[in-house]
Amino acid sequence: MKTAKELLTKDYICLTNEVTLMNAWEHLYVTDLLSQAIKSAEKNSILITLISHETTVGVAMMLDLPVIIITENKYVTETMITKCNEENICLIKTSLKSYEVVLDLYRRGVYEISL
Amino acid sequence: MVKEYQIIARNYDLAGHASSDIKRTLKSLNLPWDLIKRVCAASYEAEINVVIHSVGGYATFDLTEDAITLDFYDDGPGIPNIELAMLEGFSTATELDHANGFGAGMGLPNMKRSADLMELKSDIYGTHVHLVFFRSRL
Repeated sequence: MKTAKELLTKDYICLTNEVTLMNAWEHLYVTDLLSQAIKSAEKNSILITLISHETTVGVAMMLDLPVIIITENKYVTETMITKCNEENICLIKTSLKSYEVVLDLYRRGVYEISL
Repeated sequence: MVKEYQIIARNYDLAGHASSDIKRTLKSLNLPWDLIKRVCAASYEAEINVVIHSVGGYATFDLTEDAITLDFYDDGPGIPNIELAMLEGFSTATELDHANGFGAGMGLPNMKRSADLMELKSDIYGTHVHLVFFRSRL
């Protein structure tokens, strides 16, 4: 499994404690509907979403999702960061759009997709 | 083991507290991950539904040797058409709910998919969702 640290470039900012960068992940899941994540996200997936809210952390915690990437520079509250630290979830923010994150991770070889 | 949780309407900041505690309890007992995931998925959806759609309510969690049982009760205004509400994609949620990532009309279908047994009763005085997860089914 890869770690959250491998995701980082100048386009990504980790908002949580450094220790969360050691979180291991296997898959990606992109959605702005949290119920869809509840239905379909696999364990150890990175959740890539526009939904910057404590409920996003709640869902990640429920599903054992080790990393959340908030896209398009959506405002992230201190409460959300605190909750992520409490739950040991790595919270990353980027100006990229959700689909651009997937493309970026694929192009850099961080995530391999077999279609 | 029996636990009870209060759920406050429209309070997204506290939404998920009951489900979080249920997950911690199940994890501490080293139950299989698939079972924990099914319980937590349904619990979170049911809890969010009370937050979004009702005037408030409460949940109970009951763990026995054979099953995990969750009950969610609220004080209304109830589900006008249960058949429609069970359809994936049907929702009466507001813009605020959508902004928080919910209200896609998947709550009840997700609960039904996750639980081994689901009973739903609703009228204008409130809604009761009864969910059972058999520990023998992984």
